[in-house]
Amino acid sequence: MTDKPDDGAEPGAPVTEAGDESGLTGALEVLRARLGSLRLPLETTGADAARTELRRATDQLDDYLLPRLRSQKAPLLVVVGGSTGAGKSTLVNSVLGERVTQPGVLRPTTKAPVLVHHPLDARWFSTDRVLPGLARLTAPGAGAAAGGPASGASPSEPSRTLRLVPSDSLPKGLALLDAPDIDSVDTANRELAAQLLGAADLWLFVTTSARYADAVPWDLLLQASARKAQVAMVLDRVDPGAEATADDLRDMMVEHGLADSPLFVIPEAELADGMLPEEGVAEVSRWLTGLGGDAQARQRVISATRDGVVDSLVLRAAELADAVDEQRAADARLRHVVDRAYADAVAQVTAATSDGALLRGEVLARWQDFVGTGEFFRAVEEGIGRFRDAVTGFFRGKPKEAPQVEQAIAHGLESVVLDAAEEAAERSYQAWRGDAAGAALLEGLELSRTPAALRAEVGAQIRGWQGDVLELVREQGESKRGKARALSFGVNGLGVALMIFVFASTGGLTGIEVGIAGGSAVLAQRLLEAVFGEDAVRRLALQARDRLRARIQAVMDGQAARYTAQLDALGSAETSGAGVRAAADAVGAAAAAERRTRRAAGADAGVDAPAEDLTESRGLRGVRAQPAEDLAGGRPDLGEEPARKGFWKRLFGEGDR
Amino acid sequence: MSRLDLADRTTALDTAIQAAEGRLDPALLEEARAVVTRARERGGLSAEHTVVALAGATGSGKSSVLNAVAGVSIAQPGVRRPTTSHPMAAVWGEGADPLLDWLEVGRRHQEEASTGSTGLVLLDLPDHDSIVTEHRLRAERLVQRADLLVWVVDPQKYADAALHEGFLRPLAGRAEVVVVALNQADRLTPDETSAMLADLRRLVAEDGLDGARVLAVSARTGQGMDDLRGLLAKAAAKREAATARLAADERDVAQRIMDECGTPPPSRHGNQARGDLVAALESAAGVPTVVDAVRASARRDARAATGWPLTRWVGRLRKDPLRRLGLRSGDREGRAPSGREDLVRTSLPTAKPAVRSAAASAVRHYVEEVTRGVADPWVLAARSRGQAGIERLPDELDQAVAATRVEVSRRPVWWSLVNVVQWFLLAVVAAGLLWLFVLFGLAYLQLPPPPTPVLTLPTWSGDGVVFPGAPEAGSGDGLGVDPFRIPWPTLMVLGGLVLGLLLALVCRVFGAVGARRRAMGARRRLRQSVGAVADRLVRTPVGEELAQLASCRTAATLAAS
Repeated sequence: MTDKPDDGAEPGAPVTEAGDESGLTGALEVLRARLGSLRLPLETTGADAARTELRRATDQLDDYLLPRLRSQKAPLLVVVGGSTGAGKSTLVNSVLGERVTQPGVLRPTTKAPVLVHHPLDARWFSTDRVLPGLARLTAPGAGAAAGGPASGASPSEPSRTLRLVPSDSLPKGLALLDAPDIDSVDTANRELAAQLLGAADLWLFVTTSARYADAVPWDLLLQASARKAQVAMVLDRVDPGAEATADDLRDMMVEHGLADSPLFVIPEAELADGMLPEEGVAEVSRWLTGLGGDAQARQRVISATRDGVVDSLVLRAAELADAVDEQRAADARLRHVVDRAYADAVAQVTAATSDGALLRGEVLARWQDFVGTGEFFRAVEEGIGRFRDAVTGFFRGKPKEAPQVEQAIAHGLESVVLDAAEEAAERSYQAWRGDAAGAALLEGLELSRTPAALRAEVGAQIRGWQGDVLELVREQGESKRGKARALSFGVNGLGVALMIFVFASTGGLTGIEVGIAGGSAVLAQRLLEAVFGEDAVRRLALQARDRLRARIQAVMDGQAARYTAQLDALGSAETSGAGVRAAADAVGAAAAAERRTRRAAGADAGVDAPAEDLTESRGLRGVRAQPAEDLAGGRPDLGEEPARKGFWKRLFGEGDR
Repeated sequence: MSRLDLADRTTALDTAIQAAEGRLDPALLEEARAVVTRARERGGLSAEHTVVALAGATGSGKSSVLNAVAGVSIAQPGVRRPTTSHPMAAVWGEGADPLLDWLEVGRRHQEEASTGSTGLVLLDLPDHDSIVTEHRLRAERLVQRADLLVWVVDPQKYADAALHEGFLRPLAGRAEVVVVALNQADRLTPDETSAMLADLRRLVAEDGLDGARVLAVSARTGQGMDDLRGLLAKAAAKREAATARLAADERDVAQRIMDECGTPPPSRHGNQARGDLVAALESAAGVPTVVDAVRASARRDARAATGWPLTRWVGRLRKDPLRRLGLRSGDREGRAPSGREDLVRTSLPTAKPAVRSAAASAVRHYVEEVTRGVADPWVLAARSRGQAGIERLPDELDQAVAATRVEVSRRPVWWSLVNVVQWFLLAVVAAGLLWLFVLFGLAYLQLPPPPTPVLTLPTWSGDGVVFPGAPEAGSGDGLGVDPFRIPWPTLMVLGGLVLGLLLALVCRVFGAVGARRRAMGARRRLRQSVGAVADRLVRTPVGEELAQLASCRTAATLAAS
């Protein structure tokens, strides 16, 4: 927001140096942008909490911190929050002396929050300077004074609107926001209440004698005290005879770090025209009026809350950065297990194809058939002699065609590759299932199974590889075709020989299977060497093996991508907490600098500022009423208890009001 | 619902838990086990008493309601929050001590047993929403164990998230054990009261407790107290609340186990899947190779037995394919003690990685087929069971093939007959040759040839008329060979040769047919063996898993009914 409304009504307000202010604002804007682009897509432990935290932090930056820094002189926003049924709306109405909100017996009552401000302060709230997420609604509530400019925002959903009600009862420079319940069954209401409390300069926390020990409000209050938000407590609806609860509540406040906060006690009473008796609310009214009248006190409340929010934001940003790093680590972890599983699959296939184990069985038999020596060698072993060769040739005909060997190779290789891919898919699935972040990405068992098309793909790759091998042999054999033909094998035969050689030769034929595979591989090698020469054969084998590995790698990569695509879609690899952490550090530094300047400026400005001119305000109800007799004794107001020297006392001075 | 029903239900739930052990979410099973334990413990305690818990938020007036129901001041309501830190019991009637011990309620107050409310045990619980955590835990524990829950709410707090989300929603579906009492009704006007009651009913229904009793009371003025008292007395008199509560708890948890079980697997997939599995394992185990070898071997044997004796040796030159695989029965008996053929390994030329891979793929496919539609946890369990056997499959398959009898031990009778005939024919040829040789020798030595019998074939050119000028039979005057007269020695040589070769050819055809039949028999027996291995290593474990699923489902369905 660029417009800085002039504020002639506050001549003595402390002025801070623009440079430091904008430094802090700039740093916060950077932080806001980085937080805005932060994503927490993986379900790591605590990711849910971190997401909520992220939303809260950005909300608070948008709703409160940035607007507050951009316009220092905006009115103090007092958010009236509390449990369902504590009487927040009744209290607001009673203090104002008019019915701006509609209390009810049905819970939750206040659904759309109501912001009450002085008519002259309307310009601060009618735009989306604060709480930009809420649509403005300026229609006055039942019984409220009509007035205020229409901002034209139409409500899209009832609970995400903010009703603006101008009231001249309020002192200028002070605005009251009646928030929804913090603990109702309506989740949207609860969220909104938390957001509104995050946007407050000051909490006016309303509880009752029946529920002041509830767990939910105290969780919120603890958060508030942790980030040094300024809180005032109201103990509402105190039944006669239950005054001891006030002492009890005071003890609890001390225990929970809210010792400095004032506590107001309002007795349960018959409502007259929907309002509490004047004397009941007198104390709250007087305190609010005092706050509205004293610009410097107001400024201190604002600064104290703001500093607390900045500090907590720096801490929370660091936590969020950790959460993001955690996401990144989870992403890396998930990718790693998938990569490892599929790398193992490639290694498994390589192992199966390199030690000659695959050459047993079908492939060997076909190869022996092909070379036509199988029976021959056996015959030699049995000592029958060469004669049989001719007879065998006569009875069995020509050696079998090469494609049968190729088919046998393809078949064995296909089983091995398919099995490896299936196993890798299952292993990846198991690993992801055991990881919270991964389990959330798995839907059913689909990923643990290989797709039906994989068999066809593997088959195509193997045929492709065999084509590669033939191509290699063809290229190599261009000049030596005659020689090859002389050996009556041709390109196909040599290609098959090369495949056999590839399967048997890695690892230098030192495996267990050497004995079995060796014979055929040696034959293949001799054959190839006879045609191409020793060096060329070694090079060809290397090339063929590399191409096989590349093709298997391609298949496995495609399979691994089924997993990693899940992560890619989330983009969890690109996120990094470093940017946020740097921005948070910058904010911390800027805040420290700004505080130093402010302290110096505050010392210069002097201690007493002229009281605000209250003539514009009609005054809050009960300001001039005496406190109720029966409560005067038991009221543990901080200002009247000399033993407690709190922030508020320092703020307003001794027994001033 | 009778007592027996609850016991049965508990047993069924227990069965379901045991069947689901290690398969379903441990947290759910833990919860189910807690319910079973609770049901057993409560079942062992007094059935004459009905435990009613007064639960609620801090300051809603549980203690006041207890006092109002009892009619005397037992509990001390306080203004400081939280008030009640330890639960307190008011007991109508005798003998509730073991029950209260189980509930771990120390503070007990004996009430006079009035006619209506004998057996009523009324508990005043600590707050569920206070900042003191032990109170919450104590309250939660008793909320679990009470038979009937009376939630005391007040106009301020009746819509608290802590109550609805933390306590009422987990009780969803058990409306009969929940009563919601809106206390402090005296603070409201009658119009407000009825509006609030309607709102409260709506909220309670949203919590999944449609039908729970909701009533307005006031401990201070006694308004509505008679209704509440009557309700409690009725519950105590019927003595059913305990059973109803436990049954409701069991139903709820059993329903969730049932949801986890998913739909039962379609059984019709089973046979088809098994057929596929066995076929895949067969080809992985090299059964086609064995079958081919059996066929070739049988043909070779047939040829050796029935072939023409002079060329039989050619077949012998090629090694018996079955022997090459080490499957010849003679080999096996030589290598292993009789009856322990399983100790022998074949030398089937199977490549281990390929067999293992093919078998593993087949097993995966099988598991996927038979678990189609089954809930994920069970599929994973079945998968791990099925795959446990993969490592053993290659060896087991090899042994199954080795131990299967692939040959027919008895040689066909016709082989021997043909063999005799072949040798006879050969002997005839030899005799003919010898005869001819003698004749040749005599002719060479210019000795008079002995009379040689000739076979006179009947002529068919005329009506049995002998050609004019044709020599008399047996005259043999060297006029050349009469085309119609064949000397016996020549006939013996030529006929023996022709008949022997012809017989060999015919027998080769028969031998091939017989070999095919033998191969089919071998295939059938091998299929049985492989099928047995598949059943033992894959189908039975997976089947057990599915049986567990079925029993879990059945038991859970029973428990949830």
